[in-house]
Amino acid sequence: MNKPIIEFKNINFSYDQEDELILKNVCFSINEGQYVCLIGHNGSGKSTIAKLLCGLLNYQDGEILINGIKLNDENLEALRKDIGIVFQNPDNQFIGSTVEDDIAFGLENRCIEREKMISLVHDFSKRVGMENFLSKQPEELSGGQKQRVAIAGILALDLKIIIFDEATSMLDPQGVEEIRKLVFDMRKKDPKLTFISITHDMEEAYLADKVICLKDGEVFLNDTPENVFKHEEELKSIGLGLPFIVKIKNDLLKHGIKIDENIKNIEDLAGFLCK
Amino acid sequence: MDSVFGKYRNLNTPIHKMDARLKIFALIILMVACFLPYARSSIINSEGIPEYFGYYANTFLVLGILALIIFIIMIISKTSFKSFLKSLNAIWLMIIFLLIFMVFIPRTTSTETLHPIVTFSNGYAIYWDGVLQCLHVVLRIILMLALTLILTSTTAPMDITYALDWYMKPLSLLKIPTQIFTMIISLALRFIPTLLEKSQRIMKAQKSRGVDFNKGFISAKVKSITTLIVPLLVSCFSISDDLSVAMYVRGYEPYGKRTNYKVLTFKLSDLLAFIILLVILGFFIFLCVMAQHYHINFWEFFGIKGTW
Repeated sequence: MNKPIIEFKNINFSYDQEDELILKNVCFSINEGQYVCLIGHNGSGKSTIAKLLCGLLNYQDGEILINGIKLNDENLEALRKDIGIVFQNPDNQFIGSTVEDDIAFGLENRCIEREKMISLVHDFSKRVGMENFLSKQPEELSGGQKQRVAIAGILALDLKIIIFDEATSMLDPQGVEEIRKLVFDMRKKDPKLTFISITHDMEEAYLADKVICLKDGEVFLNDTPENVFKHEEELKSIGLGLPFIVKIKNDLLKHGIKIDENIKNIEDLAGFLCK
Repeated sequence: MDSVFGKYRNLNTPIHKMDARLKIFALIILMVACFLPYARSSIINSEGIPEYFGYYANTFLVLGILALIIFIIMIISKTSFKSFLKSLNAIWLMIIFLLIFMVFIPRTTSTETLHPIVTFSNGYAIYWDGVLQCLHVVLRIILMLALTLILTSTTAPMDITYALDWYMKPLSLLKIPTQIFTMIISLALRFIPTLLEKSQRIMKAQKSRGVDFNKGFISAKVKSITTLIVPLLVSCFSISDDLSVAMYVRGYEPYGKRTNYKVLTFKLSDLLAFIILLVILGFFIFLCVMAQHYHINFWEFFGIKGTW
């Protein structure tokens, strides 16, 4: 389980040779089955990392290893078949005209036979809870539903790595909660699935296995959420806050109340305090 | 959004269930039927007397039959008449244009056969022929509009695309990448509602900044429209950017091989519909030949006699 699936080694990247570097000497590794959150201020290079991973951008300097294989032009086609991205805007990534068409789009591209495709579409629409909406058009769906369809379309491809590029930032709190639950189920069903979430949502980051914080294109912090959120001042300096629960814990600590490290959600905290 | 012309309505009628390829074929057949010449070839009837209204009545009668057929199809397919009437709004300008042209310049070989309604002192005249010819054209356009409306409101855009893809198949023998056209059409259809919503949002945003889209002369209107079009164009580019990235990530290759999720099936009921269509086409060709070749007045079958 501890095999690194993604490794970034000294990546420098800029869109143009003369331009300022967007990524500066970025090094990190992500293990198979991990849930990693990439956080950072706007323009810190989070999305660039996602684009580099699936070959949308070419890196000039350094090495990206996926499953131990160096990503280059020759093997890009093969390697990017293991990576899927769910983007921010639910409307702009809805390709098919109906829910089922959209889930099937990626499968069509992989030349999967029709019978198998139909059963896959049904399975995965059920998994994201959209089985009753198969013939619906995107206008008839809410943002959260569209995003779930996008996730089903990615999941159906049987990928090893799934990246959420601010996938929940345009959703209402209910939509965010739905997607979070879905991710939880997804990882439970397939423990080998590596999940990278690019997010501004610190609450989500707190639930991750690992948090990588970027600052001006450099890896600033790369640790477990507990350790990352100990750097309150540094995070504040780049415009990031702390998750609610960490704030409460810190405040309680100031008043001399020590909270158990394992408590990760509000309910548990309330239970602990009532004891 | 209900007012969008020909927006697909997901209902369960025999017309909805019909094969999309057949529906496109039917559209072409019925459009041809709309535009066949049903007038007799000459205004002079068999007794050597000119029959002005009779000459035009043939066409009106046949178009009436066609209108009835289309009306029945509309009822079967539960096409909304409201949206049909709304779509007629769009062709008002065209009708006025036609009227101006055809009323003043009627199309006849010799001026002697023209029937003036009013003759002005300077020699100009408005002719019955022009008015009636104009009405023919308008009627045909309205029927065509109704047909298109039926097709688009009963067929999912994707099915139309698949059907078009099927019709374009022979082109792939000439190494023309038909699947790219199909993808372009389907994406365009997919994004119409998204862009409409976006344009409405931009319109509201501009209105709140003081742009008035309704008032003013044409020049003012053009100016206010640019405040809508420029942001819309910009957002179009950003959408297409996002979309192309999303498609790439899901492994789309324009020239690559793909399988199809949806397959069009030609059912037994479609065969029946196909036969009915051929009968209809045959009937209208028959009418056309009868009128053109044998100078037959159709209204006489209804017991109406005499010259008009």
